[in-house]
Amino acid sequence: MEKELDKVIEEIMSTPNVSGCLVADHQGLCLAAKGTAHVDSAGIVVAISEQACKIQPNLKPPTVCLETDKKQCLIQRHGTITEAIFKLKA
Amino acid sequence: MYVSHDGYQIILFYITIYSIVYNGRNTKKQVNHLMENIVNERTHLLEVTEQQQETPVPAASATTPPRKPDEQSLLNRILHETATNVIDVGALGPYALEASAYSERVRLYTARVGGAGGAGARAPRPPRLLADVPAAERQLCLAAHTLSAQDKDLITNAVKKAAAAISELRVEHHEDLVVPFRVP
Repeated sequence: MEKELDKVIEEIMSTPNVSGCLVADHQGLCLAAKGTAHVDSAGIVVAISEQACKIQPNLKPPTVCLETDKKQCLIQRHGTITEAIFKLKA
Repeated sequence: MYVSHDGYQIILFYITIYSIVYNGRNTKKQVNHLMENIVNERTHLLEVTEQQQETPVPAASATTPPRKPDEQSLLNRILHETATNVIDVGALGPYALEASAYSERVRLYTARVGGAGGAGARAPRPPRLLADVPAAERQLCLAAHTLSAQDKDLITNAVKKAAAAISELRVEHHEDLVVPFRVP
């Protein structure tokens, strides 16, 4: 049933430096989580992308990047789906 | 204890006011009468006379049509209530205050307000949740490279693929969803 989604997640996880991946729907329900991404963070990830979309609602959804010294978290929304990729800094 | 003549007078004055407040009827009027010569921050700027406030209610006139007495009396009541709530500034006469007295009062009241605020009554300001970083660090942050095109492509493609995969999500049933129970 969700084979296609699993395949996409595997593909993302195989990208160099990517340590985690999370997909959630517009209500914050976690649809897939792998690696360092925790299922519980789905709601927060969706909330962050929602707030970022409010800054310029007429433009396409922005990419949010949370950074620490070593790690990075990229968040983007597409339609009702929000995805977060956790990666190590290159 | 030494009490100066003026101090004694003031104490006597306050005792008088208290006795009126506690004992007398019509106290407000009497206190107002006593206080009217003393100007302080509690003195009304516009002194509305009691006569104006106590305008008698115009009785429901006899000319009222008998079929709608309630409507007419209601209207009269509304008119009366409106009239009592309005303070006619023009009819009160000029309120003259010399420029020097005005500035003197401003100075006095400002000092009192400042004294009340500085007496430790004001609550300490809550700590700020978001503090600005030092200028040097800020410059460094703002001048830093933004998200690389590679990373942006990665997340953009990933989310597109995931959305496409989710849109194709279908329930694949291999067995019958409705199972008949063999109830005899």
